[in-house]
Amino acid sequence: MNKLSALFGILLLGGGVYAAPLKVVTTTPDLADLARQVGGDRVKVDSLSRGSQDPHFVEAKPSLIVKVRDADLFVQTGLDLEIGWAPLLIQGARNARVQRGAQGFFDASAFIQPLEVPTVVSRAAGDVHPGGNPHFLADPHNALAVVKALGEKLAELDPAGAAVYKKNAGDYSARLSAKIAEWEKRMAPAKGARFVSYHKNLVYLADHFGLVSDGEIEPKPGIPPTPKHTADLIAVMKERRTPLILTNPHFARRTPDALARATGAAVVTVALTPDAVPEAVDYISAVEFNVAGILRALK
Amino acid sequence: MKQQERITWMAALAVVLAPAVAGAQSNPLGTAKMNPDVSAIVDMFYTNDDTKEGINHIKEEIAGFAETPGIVEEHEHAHGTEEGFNLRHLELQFSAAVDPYFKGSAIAAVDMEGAELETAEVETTSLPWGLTVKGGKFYSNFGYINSKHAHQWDFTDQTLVYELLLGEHGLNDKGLQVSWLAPTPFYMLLGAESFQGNNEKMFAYHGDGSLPRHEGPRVGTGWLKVSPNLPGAHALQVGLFATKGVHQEELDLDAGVDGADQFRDGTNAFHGADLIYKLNSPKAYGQSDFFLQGEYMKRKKNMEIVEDTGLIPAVVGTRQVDVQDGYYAQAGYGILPRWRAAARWEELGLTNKTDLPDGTSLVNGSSRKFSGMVDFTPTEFSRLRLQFNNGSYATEDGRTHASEIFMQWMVSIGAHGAHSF
Repeated sequence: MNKLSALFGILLLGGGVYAAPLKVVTTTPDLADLARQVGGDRVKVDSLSRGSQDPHFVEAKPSLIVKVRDADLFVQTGLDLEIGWAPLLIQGARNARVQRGAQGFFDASAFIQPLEVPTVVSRAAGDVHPGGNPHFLADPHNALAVVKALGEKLAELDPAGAAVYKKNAGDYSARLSAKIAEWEKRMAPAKGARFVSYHKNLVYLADHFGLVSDGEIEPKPGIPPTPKHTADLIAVMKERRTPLILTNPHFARRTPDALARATGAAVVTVALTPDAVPEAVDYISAVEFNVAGILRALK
Repeated sequence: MKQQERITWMAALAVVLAPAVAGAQSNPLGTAKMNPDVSAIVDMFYTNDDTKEGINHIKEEIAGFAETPGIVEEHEHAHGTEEGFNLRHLELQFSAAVDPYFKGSAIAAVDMEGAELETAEVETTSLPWGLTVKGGKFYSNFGYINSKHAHQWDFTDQTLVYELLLGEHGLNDKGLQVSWLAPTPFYMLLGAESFQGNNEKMFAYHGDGSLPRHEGPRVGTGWLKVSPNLPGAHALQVGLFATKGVHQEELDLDAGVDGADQFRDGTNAFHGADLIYKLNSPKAYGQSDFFLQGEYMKRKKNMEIVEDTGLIPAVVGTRQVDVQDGYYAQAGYGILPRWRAAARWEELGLTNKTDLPDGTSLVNGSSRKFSGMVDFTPTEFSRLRLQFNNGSYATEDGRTHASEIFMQWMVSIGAHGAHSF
């Protein structure tokens, strides 16, 4: 009798799978936070990479395949940011729901206007992305566009929650828009400030806040700094009195620090995604961390 | 026949290559628009060793692993390396989704002798229940290194245990593969393969003249891969595998008089285990990344002498049973941005026993090899490597030592896809 009721219990639990939250996996933690904000309690969100990792180079390890296997929705940045690993995970997962082109496959880059779309693509120029620069979430306006699209995608997959997703997306957009207005106001004096960045991943941030780039520490995207290029960059920074050196936690501090010593500019760590630094617990606090860091350095 | 196949391939390649090469020179976007994706990998190296007879000759004579003396028609081209400059091959890869249900890919290896079909496979993409079916000519997915192409190896040369038991290319044959991704909370992939059985070393088949015919498929494999959910940057995968199939040998024991004179028919089988651990460091450009990898396998060859037209007709009906094993273990570390150093240790013939047709047994010694390498990866599309080998080999003529040096240069152009774990 006890066994029977136990079996019945298992059947009931099994039947309850339909009411389980929608499983969302995202390639990066910033997309995970946006999906969480929109999905609320109706979704379970997991990021495949951590904020401390370089999103270009994530090992397509088997345990990540398991996460994609179980997913109802796969969210990626796109523009070839994850080309070295995301396709392998999708292929290995054998999950028809999230195959490229299926209903459960979401490419965030489809909803934004890419910058730096090259007219001629040659690998002689380094690791360039034919579709444009993929680090677009550094501009919070792009996050607004992605949030709206994510809300629509979740509603499509889970129509019963459509109203919730719409409300969540609206609430979050209002909150983010208010923050954007505040950041823009605080950053207004920084308009026109010159900077160099380690990798070419702050184009959208600079575009949004009107910062002006004087070049990158990498001689070409994906190529580590060389003494010659660093010397040239020091000359440029001295001539233009560049006050800012922006870098990310996964890059070594040696070259940025050397540039700072040579030019007097300040090194600012930029969190491109939540979890990149302890202060950045979600997307908004990551942008806040960056704005505060830049303003502090310019003071 | 073989010549004809080659000519057909060359013609096909010429047609496909013309636009691909033009595209690669000017603008990869042009090739990206093309269907299928095309890429080319050039793998060249310089090698030298300190032996008089050459390392290839030594490897052919390793006791217990030697091709039985005087084998006729074993394989058409000794793919072995030459001292000096080597162009291993130009690997041309084509891949595309066929339709919503299948994807296909083909790899042609072009070397100085002509073109050879390395793989040509079709795979399902939308079967339910975690199933995938693959067919065509492909690398068996047993173990870890077998399914990796030469340009993905961490050392220039193939491991001893693979090279001597299966040949430089491992187990690569026409066949069908079914694999199942189990719905477990951790990663578990189970696979079974059926191959025609027409290989370089193990699973050679003649099936004519004095040897009996066996209908294909003649080789079966089974394998399992398990990966626990390790946190963050750590990844571990362990595997088990077993393979069995028909094997035939034609021997020329009277040294050249009228070709083969002894014919053997039987089975060849091996089983083993593999392990890979990777640490993906948060530092940029591969610095501080670490890997540890190893495989062990043991084979049993059980051959019956079915005909002897030469010196010793009395042995017909008797058997020879060979049991040999070997392993390799290697580890590497990102010593600087874009620079790796790695070491490899190999042993062959820890078990090395031959039960001869006359009822006596022969126990042979073991061979060992150490390799060290440093490589530099300017971008994901090119790599330069310097490697040093030092081996002590138990050959049929006694123990021999050999040192080798390799300088390798690999480049990849075109729409080259990502590399699997």
